[in-house]
Amino acid sequence: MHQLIRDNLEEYLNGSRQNVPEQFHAHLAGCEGCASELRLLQKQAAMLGSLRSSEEAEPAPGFYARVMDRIEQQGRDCMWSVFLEPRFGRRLAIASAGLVLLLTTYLVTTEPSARPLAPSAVAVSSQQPPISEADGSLAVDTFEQQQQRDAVLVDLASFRQ
Amino acid sequence: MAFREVVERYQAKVFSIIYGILRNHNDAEDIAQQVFSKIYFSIKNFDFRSSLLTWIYKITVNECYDYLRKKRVRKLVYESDFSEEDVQRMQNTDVAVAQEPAVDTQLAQRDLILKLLAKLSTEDRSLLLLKEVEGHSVEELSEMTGMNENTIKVKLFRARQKLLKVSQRLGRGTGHKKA
Repeated sequence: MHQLIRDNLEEYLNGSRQNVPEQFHAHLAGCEGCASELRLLQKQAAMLGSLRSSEEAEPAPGFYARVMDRIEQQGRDCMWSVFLEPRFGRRLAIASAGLVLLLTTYLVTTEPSARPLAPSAVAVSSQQPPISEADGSLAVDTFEQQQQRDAVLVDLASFRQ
Repeated sequence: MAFREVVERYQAKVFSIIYGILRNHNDAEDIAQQVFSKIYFSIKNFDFRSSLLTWIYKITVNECYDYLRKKRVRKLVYESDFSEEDVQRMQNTDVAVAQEPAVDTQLAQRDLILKLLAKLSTEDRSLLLLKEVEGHSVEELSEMTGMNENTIKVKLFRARQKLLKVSQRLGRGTGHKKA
């Protein structure tokens, strides 16, 4: 469509043809392309006009109150819908992933201490084997060794008798 | 302006826009409530570049289209929804417009133009409806939208072209030759 027609199209479609310059009509008479496109646009405008409502539409009384009820209802829904929002959901997922990562790191780095805990100082001192007075080395007598020693001592005592 | 004032000032307008598209009073009440609820929650997004009426108009038309899409009241929106009858109607528009159309033809025509409009962007659709349905002049549209008159003319022309292309594609897509 040529510029001359485009520039005056809205006035022409409005039906205010007196506002359209003479050249407009002269161009249409000589340009079949513009004329046929204009015919299609006129049809289209008529179709759009079919959406015009001749009937006055008014809401039933109490419309404002019903709107406020709906707003209140939707306000309540909105409070929970925040959890369903994609942006919030993404943030929640990232935070959860971060938390899992943190926990995993903590568990991995603290794994060695998961072995049996070191005995307490009292327990250590009670279990500490006696230090031999002769060489200062640790006496490593077991229960069996102690029994053997006792037996030897009994033997020695009976030998004197 | 208090919200109550907004509702009272624009409720009749919103109703007539919805009724113009849907022709159903029950649906109009439900959608009008939804429109004002949307206005209430998103009034902070209104940037004052356009008039409040233009903004409300856009929301209302969008709500109508959402409603139609959800309810599939008229099997709207997708090209596959265009029936063989739609195509024939498109090609016989001359006759339908020239001779005062029967009620069912009017309904069918409105149905078809709604389907075609669904293919446009929100802005294009609103502009065309404001111009052709509400009867606003280019000058008024310029005031309402804050755009200059030339921009409005260009946008309207492009919207009309897009609408033509959709209807021509529809004719081709179903194997019919465009008249």
